[in-house]
Amino acid sequence: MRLPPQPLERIDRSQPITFTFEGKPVGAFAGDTIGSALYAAGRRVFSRSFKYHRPRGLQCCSGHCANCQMTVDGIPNVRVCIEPVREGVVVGGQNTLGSLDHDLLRVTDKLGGPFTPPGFYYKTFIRPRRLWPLYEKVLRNVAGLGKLDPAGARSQRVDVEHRHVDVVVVGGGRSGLEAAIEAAERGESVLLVEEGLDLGGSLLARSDGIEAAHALRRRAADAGVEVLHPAVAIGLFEQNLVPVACGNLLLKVRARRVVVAAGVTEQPLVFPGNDLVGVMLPGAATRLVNAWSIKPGERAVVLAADDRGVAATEALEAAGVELVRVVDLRDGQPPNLEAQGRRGRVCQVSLDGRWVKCDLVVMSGSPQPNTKLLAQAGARVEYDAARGIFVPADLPAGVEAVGSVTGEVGATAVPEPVLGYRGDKCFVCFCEDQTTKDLKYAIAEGFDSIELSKRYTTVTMGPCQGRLCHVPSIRVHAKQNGVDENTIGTTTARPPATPISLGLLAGRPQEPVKRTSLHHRHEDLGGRMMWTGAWKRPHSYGDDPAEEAQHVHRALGLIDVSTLGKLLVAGPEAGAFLDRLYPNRFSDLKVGRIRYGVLTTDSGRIMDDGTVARLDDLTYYVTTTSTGADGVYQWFTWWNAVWGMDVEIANVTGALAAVNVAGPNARTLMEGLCDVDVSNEAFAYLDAKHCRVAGVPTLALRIGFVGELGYELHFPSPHGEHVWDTLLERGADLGARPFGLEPQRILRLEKGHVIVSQDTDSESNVLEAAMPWIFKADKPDFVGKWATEQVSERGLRWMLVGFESPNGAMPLEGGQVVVGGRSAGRVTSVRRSAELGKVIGLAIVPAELAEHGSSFQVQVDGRVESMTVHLGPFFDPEGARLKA
Amino acid sequence: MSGALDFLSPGLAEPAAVARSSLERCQRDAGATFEERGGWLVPVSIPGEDAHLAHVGIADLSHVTKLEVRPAGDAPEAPGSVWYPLSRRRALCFCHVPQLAEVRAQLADRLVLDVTAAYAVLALQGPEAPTLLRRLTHLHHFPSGGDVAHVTAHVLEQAPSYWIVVAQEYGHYLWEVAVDRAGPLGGGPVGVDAIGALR
Amino acid sequence: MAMLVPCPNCGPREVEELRNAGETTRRPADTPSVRDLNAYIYFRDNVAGVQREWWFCRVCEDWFLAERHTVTNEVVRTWLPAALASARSAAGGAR
Repeated sequence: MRLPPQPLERIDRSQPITFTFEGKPVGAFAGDTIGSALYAAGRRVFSRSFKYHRPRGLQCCSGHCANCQMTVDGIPNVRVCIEPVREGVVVGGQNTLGSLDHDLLRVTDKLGGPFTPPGFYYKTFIRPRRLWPLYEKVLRNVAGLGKLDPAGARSQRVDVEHRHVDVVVVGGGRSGLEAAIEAAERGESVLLVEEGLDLGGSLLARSDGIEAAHALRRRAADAGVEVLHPAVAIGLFEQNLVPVACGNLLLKVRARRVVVAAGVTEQPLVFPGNDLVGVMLPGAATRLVNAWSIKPGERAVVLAADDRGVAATEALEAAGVELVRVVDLRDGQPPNLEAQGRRGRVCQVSLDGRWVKCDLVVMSGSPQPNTKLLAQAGARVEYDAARGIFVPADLPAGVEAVGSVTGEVGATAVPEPVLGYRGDKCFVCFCEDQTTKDLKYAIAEGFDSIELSKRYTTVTMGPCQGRLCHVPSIRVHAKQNGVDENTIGTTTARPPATPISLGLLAGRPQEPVKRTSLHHRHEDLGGRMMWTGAWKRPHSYGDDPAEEAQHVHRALGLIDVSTLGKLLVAGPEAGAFLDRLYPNRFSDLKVGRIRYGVLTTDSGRIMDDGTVARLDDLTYYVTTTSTGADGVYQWFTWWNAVWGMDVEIANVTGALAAVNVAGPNARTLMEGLCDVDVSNEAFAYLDAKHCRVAGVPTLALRIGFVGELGYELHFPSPHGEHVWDTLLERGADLGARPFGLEPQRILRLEKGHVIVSQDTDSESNVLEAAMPWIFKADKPDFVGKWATEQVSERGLRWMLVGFESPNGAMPLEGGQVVVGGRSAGRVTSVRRSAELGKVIGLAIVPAELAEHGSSFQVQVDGRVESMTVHLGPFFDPEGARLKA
Repeated sequence: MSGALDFLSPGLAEPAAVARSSLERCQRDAGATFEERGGWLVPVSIPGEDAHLAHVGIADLSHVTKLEVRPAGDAPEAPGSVWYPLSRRRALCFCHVPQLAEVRAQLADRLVLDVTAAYAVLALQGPEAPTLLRRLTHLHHFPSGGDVAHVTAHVLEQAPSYWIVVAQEYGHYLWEVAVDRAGPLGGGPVGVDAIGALR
Repeated sequence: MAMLVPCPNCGPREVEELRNAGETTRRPADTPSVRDLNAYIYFRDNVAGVQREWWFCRVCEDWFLAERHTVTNEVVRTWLPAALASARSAAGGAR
């Protein structure tokens, strides 16, 4: 049922729209919201309350309260009062068992009220503990909001967009528009954000304001103001970062200046029955009449503490609503106010002990400035006792407030914290079903601070984010504690200022992944890709990593080691620079030779390891671990920012692909593909040579992490597939096969090679990691020298040792080493070596156990197993194969 | 082979050794037609590119020669080359292959590293290119570097295109993100001949 | 954290684009006592006020120094360390 066309209506009666509510078709017009269409169709109950399942109806009709939250096209908790209606949209109630009108869970209201004070669940459902999962399942179904469809969690696409403007204006009312126009006319770029469907704010509520609103809109457009609406500024972060939710777009706006013109929020009054269906705020009644041409009720009682409530009477009169009583609280507050309902809908109101029949109550406390964004930005918010409002003060630089948010709310009365003689079911917090009784109960239990009470009772923590309950709850606290509102203070304002979906914050799914230039070849070859740091690398190429490892011993394997960090260190002082960073020496490294290096921090901790090759007098080529590349680059450049040595450091990790060709047939393959002499005499172990491999300029390093004759080829990454393919083709007869990370881990463990951060931790130093040979105590200074000397002086406590499992039991990596029944170290690496036919590993053990043949215990599957210490490599201890 | 840093230069490989961009597989998946140009497999055209370019086209320009120059100093005089100083210490120089010798000669007093292989280059072009860029990064003055879809990259304005210069190991990732973001704008992959680009 | 920090090379940067490496320290000039070494490695002033700290810019890859108020996050000033402030002739000269 609609009224005849109203002067301000925003519906287009020539465009009918049909949608579905709880399975039945509902008619609407373009310009309707789902809420207005449902109200026009006669619906009054829009939701069931969070805890007691009390029927709730339209209260604010401006998207602030939680009373109209429904599930729309599968998306829960949509505020239908501001959700534009769309053809065919499917709408349903939520948090009910049955329907909105017949919710079987309403029994909780009858039973629950007296039984569910704050903390009831915590206190009651704690025993017996084992039943909690059952309790939880039941409680989750009884209390709460709408249900997410797990299958459709990402039902809508969300994009994120960055914007930079001179000015963001939050609020499209008169003050906001004027501020925006003024800035734009000065030549500033201006973005105006308005949460409502229309620009104009309070102008739209007055018949004489509509033309003024239109004029402002036109001027804003002419001045070049960019307007976003409906859109919500969800926070105000450091240096004026304003995230704006605009449909399925999240805008991250940086502004030089933010003008907050967020206006005020109308406040409810606290009295018995104030949550009944039909009790609403003045703006809701006005909008129903003016915007959607709906008669909100037949007989109305108006209780107003300010001009807004009085203004609403004009709209109601225009709609033909009978005004039974209009009470202006400024003329005196009714001592015994109470509303009663039938089936949850208001049917009579008692004023001064006399009941009057009505089906509509318009209530209006003193409207509160929307200071949340200002408070987030660091403004102080203080209570003005005369007007009963919280006003912003001490705005931070770059943030301004204009309009009613500054406290220009007109003449108001300060409502009593509770109106009415009975304290029962006077709702302070509608979202969380918290009454004055609950707050008093919490205060009596000692939660007298508003911050504590908030956490205990959850008052202000519901979907309205405190818009309608923050000030009323502060008033109750002040009165109950016998102090003023400023002493109680406000709770901390936190983003988001308005509920938004997590999907909007998450944005589009994206997970940065580093791929080597051979990534797709690994996939082509059946490589099982795994994460290693930011990289994806092949774990192995089949089901049998052990066999894949053995094949390297037998014939020939290729592994992509492009992920290794690669740094160039060049300059007259390059050698001296490396000498100061590493425990060992590099200034005496001959051109074309390679030396292993371990980096330590000044605390003596091992931070990374790798090889250092000297390319010419001035240039060193340093490799790091795959995950250490950025860290080592920053480490080097930091030290040089301190030292200022004549050296350049360049990170060329991505520029180069690297492939390790390993196995007894490696030389034969290289002979056919490499343009230099690769004989053992010409190209010895730990030599670095410039050459061409498969026609590609290459730096070949003769090193062997996996313990076999090996050449590590470093060449431009765009040639990755060309070189790799050529190696596999030409090596086919030699048994060339790719091997992955897991086989490599087996092979290196057979050699007892350490993986930094696998076999070392934040306590590891070079001495206790069994690398004393790398520590050159005769060097005057290097990073980590002093701390390493201290370890030497205090004596070794721990030692990283190899071990074998005599009976083949396999400890877990990270498993505790047990000596004499006490924890004494841990296992760092374990693998079964098919080549050796043994379970081998590395462990950190007490230093006195670091002798070949000594034993220690490890728990394996609940049994204590004995492990035997093995010093030195398990495989090819002399390195004959490596140097062959 | 001569210089100690020759192994950084894909341009020094023999002609038979073809160079591939880190985005090559993405181009192939998009149905690209490739041509070998200057030793590189270059995606010259892609089905649907005209429709994409009416909104925003994304092309793989990774084959452009890139040099890192230390210290930055003055830009070389080479028409069409692009000079991008990162600090007083470092600059990037993008140039045509035929210019390379001349550019290197002009930079003979400085340390020059061939970083052609280190970076992927995604070119965005079309009326929605600024929108796409805003959906990828907060960067808005060009040239400048910073966070682009959660990885560090540099954005240069090379009218009528924008170039996103990113570590090649992130190239594939960033391409996928850019194409995903371009979709709702009506954009998508295009070949390098569809845009006005350095050859 | 949504703060902007001015990199001396790149201008104001989102804080994610930088790495804060903590307050500056003074490395002992000569072999320190155990106490001095531990003080250098482990102890920090941790002031509630303006402190001098190291930052790394992931964009230009330079380290710089900043004075930042640890309570308000206000960055008072930033500057390049002397070692980076002047771009010397390149190491090793031409190649």
